[in-house]
Amino acid sequence: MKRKILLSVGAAVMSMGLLMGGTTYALYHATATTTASPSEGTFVAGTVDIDSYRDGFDTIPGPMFYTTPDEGATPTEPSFNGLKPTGIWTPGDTHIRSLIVYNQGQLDAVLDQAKVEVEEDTAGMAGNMNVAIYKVFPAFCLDGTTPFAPLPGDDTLDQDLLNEVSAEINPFILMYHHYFGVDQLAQQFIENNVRANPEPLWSGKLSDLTSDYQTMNPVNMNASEDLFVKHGTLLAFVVQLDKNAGNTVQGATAKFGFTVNARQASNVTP
Amino acid sequence: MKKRILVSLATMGIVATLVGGATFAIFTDQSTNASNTFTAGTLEVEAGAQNTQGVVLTNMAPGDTIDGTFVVTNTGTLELRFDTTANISGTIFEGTTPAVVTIDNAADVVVAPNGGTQTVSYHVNLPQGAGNTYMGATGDLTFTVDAEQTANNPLPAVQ
Repeated sequence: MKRKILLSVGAAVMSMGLLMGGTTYALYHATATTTASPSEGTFVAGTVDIDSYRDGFDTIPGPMFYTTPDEGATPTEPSFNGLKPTGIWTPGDTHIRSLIVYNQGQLDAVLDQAKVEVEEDTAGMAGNMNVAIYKVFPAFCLDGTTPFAPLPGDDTLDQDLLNEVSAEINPFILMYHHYFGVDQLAQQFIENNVRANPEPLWSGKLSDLTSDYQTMNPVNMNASEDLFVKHGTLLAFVVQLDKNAGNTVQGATAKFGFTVNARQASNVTP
Repeated sequence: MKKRILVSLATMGIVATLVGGATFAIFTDQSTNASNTFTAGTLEVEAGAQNTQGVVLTNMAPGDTIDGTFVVTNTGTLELRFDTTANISGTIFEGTTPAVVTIDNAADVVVAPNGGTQTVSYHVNLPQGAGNTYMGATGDLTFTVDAEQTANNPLPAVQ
């Protein structure tokens, strides 16, 4: 320890001497630099980065809605079929599927737009389908006793809570043939003792989503403080083939992609 | 790990492009759940060889009853129910004591999808009181089967 101190003193004296000797006109001065960023003057832009996975009993990636098991297979692994096909649609049929969206970027983000990509729709099914998108959060905490209270300004859940709300709603959304309006999910949850609260984000015709992004009620997706702990939100997509779809869609098949858009939370006037 | 870094760089590249393209651009990211498939079922019904079945009524005497059946097949992929109505024409169905058609199971007969069948029974009766005016009278009788989906389509409550 003593040796170390002596050495540094020696080094300091030497370097001072050298500096002063090198420039005769040198005055003593000091410069302090404050850096706007904590990491030594380097500006690093944060990222808005979201990812999504279908939920339900399907633990492998793939589409949320599929008529047959093979249509629900993981695109890269066609041998892994989907587990919960909707079956063919009858006018009036309502099916619910869920999507977990994670914020894996460094910035707080707001999820506030949705869109549909039409991959195939020759019979115009989009105009005959009703869609509602909900944010679903648990009604009770993991210990089962205390009511769940979302953190103000943050709609994300940790993985344990996401698993919990999935486990709560999955049996309901997959258990039987549904027949109700897409805007009646909250009422359905109450009638079926599903301990989850659906908050409506958007509803309308599926064809309304095909032209451009539509604005949804915002979902605040704050960045996770721990990069290795994912935070996300569970979205429920309720889709109905309209009761009055009519014979023009008999036997028709359509393929759609559901897209959600997130933006940085700060410095944006909605 | 290397892969991860490369991905972030690529993302930053996209971000930079966005910022350059529009001065008011903000950071955004999208995620798509692709290839959701929706296939609607079909509702198709066949009665006999076609959607109407014709019966020729000849040589009936007052008091006679002709009994008949025909088979309705659901060739669609959805369960259906159907109503059967009789369409009558000809002199035997006219006048004061015309022939009368009854259908045993005329309303709300449910047929399973993908080839399920149901048999419809009907009876044509020329009343005993039909007089000589009906001698030589003829009639045509066809049946129309009108089907609708059973799912999401509850029957109206019976008063």
